[in-house]
Amino acid sequence: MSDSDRHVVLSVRSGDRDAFAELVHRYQGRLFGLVLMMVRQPAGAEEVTQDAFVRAYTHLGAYDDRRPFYPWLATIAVRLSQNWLRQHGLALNREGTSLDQLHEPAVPPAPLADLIADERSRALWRAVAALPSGERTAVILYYRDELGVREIAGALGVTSGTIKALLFRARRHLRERAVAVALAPGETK
Amino acid sequence: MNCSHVLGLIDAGPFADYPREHRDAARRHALSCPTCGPALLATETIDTGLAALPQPAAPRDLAANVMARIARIDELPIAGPAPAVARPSSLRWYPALAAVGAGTALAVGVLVSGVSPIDVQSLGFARTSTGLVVMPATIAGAMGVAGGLALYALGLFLPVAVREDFRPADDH
Repeated sequence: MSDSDRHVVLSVRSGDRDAFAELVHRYQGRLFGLVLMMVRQPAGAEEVTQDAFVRAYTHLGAYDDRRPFYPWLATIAVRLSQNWLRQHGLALNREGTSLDQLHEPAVPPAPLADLIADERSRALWRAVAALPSGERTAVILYYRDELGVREIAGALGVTSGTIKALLFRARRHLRERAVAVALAPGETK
Repeated sequence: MNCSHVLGLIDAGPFADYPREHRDAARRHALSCPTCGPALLATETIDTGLAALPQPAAPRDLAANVMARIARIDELPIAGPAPAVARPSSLRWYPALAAVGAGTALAVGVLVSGVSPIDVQSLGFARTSTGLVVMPATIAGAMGVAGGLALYALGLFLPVAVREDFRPADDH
């Protein structure tokens, strides 16, 4: 946990509620992006992101401040996203690597990519958004949010081996879909 | 080392449980192979791109909405009864009453029958059993133990009942 995060958490714990706004501002984009990748609906993602921050605030007493703050917050968001998917009839199967067997709505990934300004990043975001649910969640948590394999496994409630398998398959899918071509210098989608 | 094996290693990347020499050999193969070379380049490009993947802009009102919800939570009376937590109040005391009843019944039973479920005659204060507990040598002592057990059970269950009384309303 960065000293800055720890300082804010201690302030909130000692009664300075407004200090929590600093954590919200610091992590809202990152958390919203993660949740958006999981639920794939901007309105649902906003609802779940709000819930995650509120839950973090009300459970701040249970947070171990020797550990980084964001992985703890991300774990809350992942669990709430899973609940949201379940409530909307889109439950994840947590057995083995069948985490990917999600019956997802026919929501094209393009609207998510439209929230990204840069064209090359948008192409990659589209490709990631098109991955099966488990793979894209693992990719976001591992590459963008820099969580370790064990932390991701804990957040998703599966084994480390499952996460490695998901990341392996995600890399293969991305390669096979020739994302690299779209990302190559001089190429635009 | 054939192309299929090398492509598998390229996709597995840091998640492959292979010795470094093995991975280095795969990389050397890829650099000189027309099939594996582009795959290696593509995967490295993807890795770099993923690490730098930007985040979408969060909704403009998200932070304000979160802080407004938190403010509403803090305005709830801390010691007030939860409006929608629904165990009937009489039920909250059942575990504690049952514990007190059991303790009392045990103590009275020992007094009336003169027979203790604990073999108090064979155990004395000065003697430690093969376990770790020093047992009382008198009926009164046994009653004390029984009463203590009842109080212990009370201590276990009473906080649960009290906490339910003061649980704040769930935010959701």
